[in-house]
Amino acid sequence: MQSSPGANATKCKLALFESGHLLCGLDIIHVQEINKNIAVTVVHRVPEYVRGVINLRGEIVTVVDLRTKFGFAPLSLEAEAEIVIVRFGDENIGLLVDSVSDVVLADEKDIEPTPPNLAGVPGHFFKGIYKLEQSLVAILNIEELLAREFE
Amino acid sequence: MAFIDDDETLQSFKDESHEHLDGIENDLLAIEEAGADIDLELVNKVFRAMHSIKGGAGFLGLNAVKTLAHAAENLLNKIRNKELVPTTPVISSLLDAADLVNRLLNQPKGAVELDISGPLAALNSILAPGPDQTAAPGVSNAAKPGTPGEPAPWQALLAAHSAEIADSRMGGLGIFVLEYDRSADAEQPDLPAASKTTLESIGQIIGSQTGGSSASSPQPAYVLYSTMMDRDMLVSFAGLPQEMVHEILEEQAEPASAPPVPAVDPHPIPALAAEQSPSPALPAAPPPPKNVAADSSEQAKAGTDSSLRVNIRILDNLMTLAGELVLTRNQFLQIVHSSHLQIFDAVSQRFDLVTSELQEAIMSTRMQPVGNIFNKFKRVVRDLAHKLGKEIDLVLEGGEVEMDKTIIEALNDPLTHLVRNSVDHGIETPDKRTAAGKTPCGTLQLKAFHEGGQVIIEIIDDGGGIDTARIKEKVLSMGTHDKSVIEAMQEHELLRLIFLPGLSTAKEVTEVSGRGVGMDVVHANLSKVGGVFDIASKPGKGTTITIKLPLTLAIIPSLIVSVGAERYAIPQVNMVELVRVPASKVKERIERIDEALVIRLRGRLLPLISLAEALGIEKRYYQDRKTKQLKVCRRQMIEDRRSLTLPSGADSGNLTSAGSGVAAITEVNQENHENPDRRTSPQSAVNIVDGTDRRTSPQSAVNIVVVSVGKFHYGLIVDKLLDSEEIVVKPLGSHLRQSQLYAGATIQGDGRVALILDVVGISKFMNLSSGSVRVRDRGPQETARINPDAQTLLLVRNSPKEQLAIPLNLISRIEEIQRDQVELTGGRRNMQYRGSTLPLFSINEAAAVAPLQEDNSNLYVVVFPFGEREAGIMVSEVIDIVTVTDALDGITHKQPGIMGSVIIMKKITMLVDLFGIVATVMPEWISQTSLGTDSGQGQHILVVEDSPFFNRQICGFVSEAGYKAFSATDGIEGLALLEREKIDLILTDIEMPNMDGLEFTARVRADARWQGLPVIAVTSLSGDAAEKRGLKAGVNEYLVKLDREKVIQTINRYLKH
Repeated sequence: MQSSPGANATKCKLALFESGHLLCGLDIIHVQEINKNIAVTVVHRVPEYVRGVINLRGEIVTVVDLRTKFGFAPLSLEAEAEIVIVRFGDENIGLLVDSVSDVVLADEKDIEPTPPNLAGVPGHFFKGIYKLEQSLVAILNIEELLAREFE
Repeated sequence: MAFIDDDETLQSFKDESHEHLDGIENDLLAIEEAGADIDLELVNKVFRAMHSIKGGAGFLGLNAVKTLAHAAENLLNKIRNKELVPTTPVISSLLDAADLVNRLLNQPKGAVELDISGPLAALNSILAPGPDQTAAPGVSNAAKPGTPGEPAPWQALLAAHSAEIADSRMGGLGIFVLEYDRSADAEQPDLPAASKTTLESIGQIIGSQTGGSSASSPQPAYVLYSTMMDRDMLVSFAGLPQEMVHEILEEQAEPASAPPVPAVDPHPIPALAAEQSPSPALPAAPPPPKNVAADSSEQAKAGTDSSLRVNIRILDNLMTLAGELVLTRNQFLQIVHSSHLQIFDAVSQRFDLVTSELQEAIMSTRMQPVGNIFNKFKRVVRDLAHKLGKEIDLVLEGGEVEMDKTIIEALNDPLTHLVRNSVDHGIETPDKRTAAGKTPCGTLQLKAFHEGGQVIIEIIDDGGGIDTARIKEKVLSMGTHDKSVIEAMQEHELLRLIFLPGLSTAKEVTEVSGRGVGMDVVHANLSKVGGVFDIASKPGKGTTITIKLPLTLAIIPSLIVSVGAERYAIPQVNMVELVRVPASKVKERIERIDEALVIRLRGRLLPLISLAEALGIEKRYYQDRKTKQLKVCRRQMIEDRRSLTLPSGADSGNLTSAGSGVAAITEVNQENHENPDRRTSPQSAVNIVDGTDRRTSPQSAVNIVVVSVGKFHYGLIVDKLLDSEEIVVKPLGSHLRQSQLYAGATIQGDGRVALILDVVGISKFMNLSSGSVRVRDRGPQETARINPDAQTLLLVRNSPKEQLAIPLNLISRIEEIQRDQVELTGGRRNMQYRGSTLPLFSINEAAAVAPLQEDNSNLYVVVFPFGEREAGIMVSEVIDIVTVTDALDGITHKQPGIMGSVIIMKKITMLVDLFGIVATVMPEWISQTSLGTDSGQGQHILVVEDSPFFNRQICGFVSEAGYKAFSATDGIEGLALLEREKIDLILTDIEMPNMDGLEFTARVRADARWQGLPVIAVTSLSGDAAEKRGLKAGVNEYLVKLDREKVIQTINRYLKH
């Protein structure tokens, strides 16, 4: 690995996944596991962005639909979606994404501040933008994304 | 002295001290109650507890605690020596000190120590009048905190004779200081001559000394004695009390411990030693075991009821494991059930058993007696009563009833609040009470008991009661309710208003209560742990508050229901009954009153909520799944998929309709409009959810789960009733926790998640309250339509041609089983059921009716109680539940196992006699249950019943049981018979022409001749209200008409004694 002095401290691994037309990244520190084909039990009369709950080895985990959260049209249940389990406070939360694509090593100096509005999604959901060769990765701010909705 | 930096030691000291303190409070109160007539055992106990705390605190360098405990200990010593009468101020100061110690212990490490001067001064001021020798070290220590403790009074003696002591020790002898009380005669020499001779015979008196310099009496004499006897022997030999004999051990030889202390605790001596002379030469080790053994009898006694402390985290973990095990069991059972592998039977049974046992065992470790919190109310009530100038007698009952720790903890605050309320607002001051003609001393009762798998806690005061007029006034002034609504409310509804936030009926705000905060919080806290709340109050007489609580929260029995594709669990605690309205009856039984759906149920209108509507999921079935409009929410798409998996009768019918949800709803309306007589939408909602055409499908019956919210009941309409299961409650994530519709979630046998419904939340969410449907307005006329003799029957059949009926109120459950679950053992058919064997009967074993259909793979078992056990009747098919008012014919079809017949749905239907079947097939059971024909001894029983059928039935089985039955058809005839015959017991119907059972009973009771005569009401109507009326009229028991077994048992009970 070619590295400039002190670079290790500023690098992080990003898990990349797609939600709608947005390519998102999440520091893998937050990611517990990634699941496919888990039956989601729909819960009614709860905030729109909560798709339902799943049984994760005996734990009831809330599943948040990233698309709804971003204001996109929700993913149909037939679609092959994946659930990224993230640690949030003292619980696990599932993020419903279209697909998980890759893990990249990102240099923090290449991360740029988020514009206030990213493809129609409020900027505070993101920590920054990371440039890949061909595309841009919006790095999720889990705290903002999940905590904001407590009101 | 610095803190010892050992968190674990500190923590265990704190835990132990808390336990001591818990005990101290009650004991002190008991000591106070006993007054001068002290219970030495009790005082000693408190003394030792304080002493332990002092010791530990000294050891750990908690100086404030130590000083306080020390002062308290000295005071207790005086009480013990009968130098001080434990009056209220004395006990108060001790309680305050205990409180402060408690607070000090709860302080986080490193916090600024609380000021202890107040309580300390209080203790010392009581001690001050005459510091004497016995308590000398303590008193001086407490009076001048900070000065090192004075050494034992015989210290000088030891010092003077150190050489002799050393010699004796070399010779293997024990060194003792014997204390002689010289109070009787101060002129007496150091030692009675007789004692001296005795002692010299088996040891050596090294020296002696009279008490300290103080002139105050009593002055003990100390004798230094060396002997080969051990302490116990010496005690009996010298004829001295235990505490007067002090063994001087090597380590202690220099700084001796406080003299009058029986050394029970492992801490105190090293602690004191360490505190008094911090020289490193003195090891702070536990005292030698010998010292402890000296008081072994005491300890053994205390050990019998000691408890084990278990870290709650470990318990939580065990609980989770047990939960998992339960889930695995469910899964396993499902596999076994579906694949019919006989091999698995035994294994699964074992598995089932072990799981249940493990669960129970672990659960029991979490169970704690309610007494833990009850007892602290002695103090609360005492203090409050003093403060408010009231006299209150607190009566505690059922402190041994156990509940889950979580619930006990959650109960603490609400209960405190309620008790304070009762003391403050409920019970009046002595002069007011006297004026009202009551005893000046009020009574407050706290009761706990088990009832129906729940724990009931009652708080009963005999105070002034709650003034509903004032509540009205208050609520109106708050402006939150409409005047008309309030005016129309019944008493118990008004009472419930005290749970409104901000409401207080106290005329003035006192320190104790009355600020209008609290009752709403009480309600909220109790609801959280599944508690249900009720208030009954009589002005001038008092108030009774009833709290119903589940035993545990972790694993609860529930009913699984489904709406659409999703399954939900309803805790059985909340359930009252299940009602199925057949398609043909929907129109007649379910209707709409001002937007609200109601069902006619036994003469009352019960509000209904469609679960689908509450959860917002019903409209999807009108969704055109081809439309993917932008505004269409994700829900609809989910529903699209869901509808794919369903038989799509309703869907296909609407495929061409407009796409949006709004249009769909309109369509419902249109459709309703087109069919005005099908205006009731629960029907449509439910049938539609089934996905079948309601016009033709037999499934268009409506399933209703009647649930209770306190005294208020309502019905939840669901699609399907699936199963009853024990479920493990799992918490929901933070995003879902605010939803008031769900109480949690659980994982089912197939791994799917089912949400647990919160019936209270749902009723709130749907704005349903007892006032919302004006049921009462229609009450009387509704009731009038119902024939009081109406019987509710379960219709079953074995052959398509023959219809049978079983009285519903005799049945406990109906189970659908696989035919191969029936096992043939010992010539009898049985099945495994809820961990035991359920004997099975078929009706044709006793009666000449068609046998079970052989070709069905499954059959139904109607489970009914019989004596101590249960039995099941197998039938091929369950048809319906019907209420019949037509005359029952008790002659034409009467035969063993059949009690008569009735025409239902144009068919002659035979009434099954459950008792008769058992009596025919298993006659030995009857003798076992002491219901045999010889149980009666010819006593005379008057049967008052207007229906010829029931009259014959009852007379029949009363005679069979060996009694002589006299029959009357109404109250008037009954009275006439009473005049003529010598009657030992009356069985009477309630609803009768001419003179009904209530009036009849009242008249019987009014006549001096018959006052003591047992009167048993037998009726087909059941219900609290009816029962209460009956009991009020003087009825001894209230029984169901056809429950032959119970009726006979009850008669036997009354006539045998």
